[in-house]
Amino acid sequence: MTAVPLRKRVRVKTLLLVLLCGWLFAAHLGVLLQYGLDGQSASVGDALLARNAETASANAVTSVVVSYRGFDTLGEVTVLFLAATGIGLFFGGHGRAESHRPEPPMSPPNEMMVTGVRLLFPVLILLGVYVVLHGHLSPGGGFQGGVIIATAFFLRMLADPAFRLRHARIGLLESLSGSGFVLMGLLGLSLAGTATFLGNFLPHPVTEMGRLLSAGVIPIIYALVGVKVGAEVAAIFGDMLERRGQQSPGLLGDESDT
Amino acid sequence: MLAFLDDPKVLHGIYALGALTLFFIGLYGLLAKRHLLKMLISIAVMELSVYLLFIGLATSPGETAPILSDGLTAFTDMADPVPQALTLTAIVIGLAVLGLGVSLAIQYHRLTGKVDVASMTELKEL
Repeated sequence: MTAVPLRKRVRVKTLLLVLLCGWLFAAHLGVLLQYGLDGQSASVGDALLARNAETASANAVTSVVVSYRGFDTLGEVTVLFLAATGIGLFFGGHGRAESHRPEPPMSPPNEMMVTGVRLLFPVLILLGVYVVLHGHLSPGGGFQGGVIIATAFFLRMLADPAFRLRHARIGLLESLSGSGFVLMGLLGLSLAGTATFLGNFLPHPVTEMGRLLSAGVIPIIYALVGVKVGAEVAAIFGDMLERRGQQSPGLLGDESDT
Repeated sequence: MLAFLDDPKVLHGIYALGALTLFFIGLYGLLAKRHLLKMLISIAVMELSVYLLFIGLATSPGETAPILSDGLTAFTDMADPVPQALTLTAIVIGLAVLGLGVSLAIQYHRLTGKVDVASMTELKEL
């Protein structure tokens, strides 16, 4: 605990303003909440649940994300790609020589860290692949599993300073899976049987529901999303870590809050 | 004893109040803190409260997760899957925005050595 007294650490005016906002908002919410809570007779979700069996995906959230709102997911993956590109731009630029502080050397990783990561790395990869591949059967999917895989590589990069992601390979993986996603969508659009973007053109009999090989294109698309998300998040981690030697400790250590 | 929680109005009211509290904690952090990273974390807390509100209000007592497992055979009496899918989207976008914001903050600090928003005066006319 710092020696600064409590009234110096809490901004009273701001706190009062926030409390006033909260009270007003809660009052409005109290008026609004009386409507529509029990009166919802039908919603989009109910309609989608009722016809969800046609996708043969046991996980209704997955069929909404990949099939009914698949176009949204494409945009979402694009936003993530743009953010990863922006972060790569910030950290990979040439402006490093202009840094005004000398670079502190990176301390070698802790022995516990190294041993633990050696144990955890294959388990994390396996868990990530499992979560991606079972996205249409159980909670999980491409986004969650992709982030788990990226976390495994992040730990590896922390534990082993000599371990570097090859950016060319990451970029290739990312573009291949991204184009695969669009290609799947276009195939669904062009084939006569479905004729919609991301239409489920592979056979997906309802009797197969709950098996690993079911639901047609949904697991394939989610696996592509998983590869893409994993590559992007791993690239973000890699970009941030690679320049850690240049980063002065002040950003995390300074306590400039008053 | 806790049977009153089965009333959707009570349960949704509790969810809404909790999410609201979290939201205004984040708002206070955003307004009162001056450290760039702390402000970004406050924004993340506000985002989290909105996710919790979405998921909480979309589920009524007695509904299960919208997944066929554990002996369920039909998609009935399940929570609305659309808010859950939208929340998944929002989490991913939030991650992207947070990552970009943090890297902007790091880069700003690297160039100027400052992390305090009150001392950001590069563009201020003197």
